[in-house]
Amino acid sequence: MKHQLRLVGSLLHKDFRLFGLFAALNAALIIVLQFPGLLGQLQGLAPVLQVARLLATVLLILVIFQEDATASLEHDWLTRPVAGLALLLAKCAFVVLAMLAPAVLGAIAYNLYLGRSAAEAVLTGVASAAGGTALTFGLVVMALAAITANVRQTVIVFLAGLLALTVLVLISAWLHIGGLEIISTGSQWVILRTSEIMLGVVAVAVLWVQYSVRHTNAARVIVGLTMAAVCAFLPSMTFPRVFSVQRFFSRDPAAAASIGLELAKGCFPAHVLDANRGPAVVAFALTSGAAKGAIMFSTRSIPQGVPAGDRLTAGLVQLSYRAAGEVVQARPAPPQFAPLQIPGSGGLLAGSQDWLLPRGTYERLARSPAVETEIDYFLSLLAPEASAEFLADGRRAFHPGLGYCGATFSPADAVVMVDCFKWGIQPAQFVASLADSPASAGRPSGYPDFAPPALDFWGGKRRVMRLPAEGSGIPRVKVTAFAAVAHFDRRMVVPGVLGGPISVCPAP
Amino acid sequence: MIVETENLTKKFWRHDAVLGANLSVPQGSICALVGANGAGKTTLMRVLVDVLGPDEGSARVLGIDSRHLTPRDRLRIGYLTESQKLPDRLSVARYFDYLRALYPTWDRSLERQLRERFQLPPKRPLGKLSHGMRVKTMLIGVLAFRPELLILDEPLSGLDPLVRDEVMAGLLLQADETTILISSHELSEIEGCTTHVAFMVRGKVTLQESMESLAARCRDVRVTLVHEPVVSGLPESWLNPQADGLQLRFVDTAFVDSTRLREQVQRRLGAIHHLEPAPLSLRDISKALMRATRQEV
Repeated sequence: MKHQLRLVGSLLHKDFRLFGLFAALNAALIIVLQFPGLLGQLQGLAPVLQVARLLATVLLILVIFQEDATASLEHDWLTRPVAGLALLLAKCAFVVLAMLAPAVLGAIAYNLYLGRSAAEAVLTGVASAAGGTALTFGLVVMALAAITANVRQTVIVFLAGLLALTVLVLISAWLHIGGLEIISTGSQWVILRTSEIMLGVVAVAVLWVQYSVRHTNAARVIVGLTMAAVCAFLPSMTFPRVFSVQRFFSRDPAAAASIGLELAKGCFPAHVLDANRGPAVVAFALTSGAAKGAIMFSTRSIPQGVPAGDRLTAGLVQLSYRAAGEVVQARPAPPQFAPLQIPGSGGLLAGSQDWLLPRGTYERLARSPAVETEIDYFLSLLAPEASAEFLADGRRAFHPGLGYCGATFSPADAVVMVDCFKWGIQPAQFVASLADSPASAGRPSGYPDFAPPALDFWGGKRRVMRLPAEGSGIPRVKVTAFAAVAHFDRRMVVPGVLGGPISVCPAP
Repeated sequence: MIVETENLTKKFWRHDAVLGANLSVPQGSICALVGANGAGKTTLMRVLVDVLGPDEGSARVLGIDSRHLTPRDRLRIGYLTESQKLPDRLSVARYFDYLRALYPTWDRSLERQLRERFQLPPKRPLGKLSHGMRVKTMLIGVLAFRPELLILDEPLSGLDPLVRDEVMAGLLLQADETTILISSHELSEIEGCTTHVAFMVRGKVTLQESMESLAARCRDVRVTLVHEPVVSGLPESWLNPQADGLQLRFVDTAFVDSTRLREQVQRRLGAIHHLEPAPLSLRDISKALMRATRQEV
């Protein structure tokens, strides 16, 4: 054991002698990039430095691992008394000391500079610089370095991977499960987090195979099979399937049994799309094949039976028509991409969605007497699990269930910025409101994330909420953490195309 | 046997690099592994040090299956190949610092002695050394920990005669306490110290025996006959027969003594005017065997 540790030390020493200068420059870059204030002064240089940091980190990992390549037949270490796992340990130690440690220390220093407590600074530093995504990225680059003998080979493998990924994204987009669409639904974890964990596991397996038994072909087969599996699996994950996985993780499915949804009575408000509807909508309509003259209409849903204090979110709403055995899907207009959020208050508030229908499609559907509109809602019920009230005086404190929170009031901008950082298990969503004005609408912390607690074993998340606030006194804010209780769907079917039979609800 | 392979086979796609090779290297010997380019010498040596795994058969080194060599076993084996990738940006002195930490048995005085003999510039990065200096550095890297077995793949390739002599002299410093398996095309350089020889042809070890025995049974035979010879139906042990009028020249690989050879020639080819069997160098034996193999193809 002592000899092995001495060996690891010797390998590490050699690598620092070889790449110490490169590592020092990279570490300096990493630390500088942890200070956004400093970057702000650099203006246009910041993105260049970010890219440079990424490239330098990848290159440093590659050269460190390939200095004693396992996928080679000629490297000196192969016939030296060096155990593969000791070599791996030395390489990982280099990555930790030369890349991870500067990033974590830089982030801690920045958080201390912002006046955060030591505990929060450490946790934030670890979460931002050594969180799950950063570690997975590092592991993947290490695995790539382990199955190739030099940078040229790595570039070839990387380009092949990139090509496969591009094809994958194109197929996914074709199947309407593109990243943008899924990221706003809260169900993104089904694909993104599981992919991240799977990549991490595969990378560890590749490293183990290469450094334990040094079987390059087996390691390359693992990588190839993983790519093939991902290419085969991801395009098949349409949103309803993603949602089915998520539904399986519902904490209390029965809680959704009493929740209903109703459509607002009457025909759907509709108008003919024209340039006045805003360039974004028109551009979207044109690219989606709905040329000028298409019908833009809204549907409005009213929830029923949402328990007081709970929130209902719609991850995705799909509208399709069924006519003479044919199913036609309507394209949601851009606002639809924002998640629909309905605070549970007896169904008084409703959410609406906008849709686009090409004129030609409408006319074809209208000719079918039995045409029906089906609207599928993929919903999640959120219940509060922790909350705290505090003054927006800039002071930060730890609140159980919320983590480290603080708020600052800017009278000039009439806004309160609420900022919470939580390590470990994450609530699905944070909502902030002004405690002293019950009528003020709560502001959620961006898109929800319904990842099960088991996936939050490492890392933390910062959430920022912006509340409009007037007056000169320091307001009190209330922050509530919501957890997902149940995931369920509801389908509504109405006759006709625009909320009723064609004779009653014709196109404008 | 310190090295022993049994039906060792290693394939690269459809190409058989080593095909059922049986090699035995006695302890304490200096064994030359000889063969044409592409005969499978490098692949066989890589299997011996577990850089490559065998597809079939087995290789035992120091009595251990080569696939199960541990770092502890590697403390007893030195391996050098001309294509070895070294940490090029490390200086000579730093490289030895690094190696010293890997080997508890590292002999600093031997290292110093060899460095002085080879006159290596301590501060020069390995990547900026000449080929000769690089080989000398690698040689110190495998000699200074006093391995029981040295496996050297073409260590003399591309070296000028002076450096070759220096490398060989360095190698011989330790020859009495180490078994050496060496592949080289510079046969005249290694002949003086070689105790055993093994020939590889198209992935197989076709011949292996002591240098003494091989040298004793191989002769370059020049015969002047009374009648013009018919060069067909000659014994298989007479390699590469070349007739020129009444003159016949061949390599006898089963030579016992001149009298018996004279009787054999007379029986096959008739009356002899003159017969002269001359000893052959390892280089000439090797050439004769390779030429004979090519003719078989």
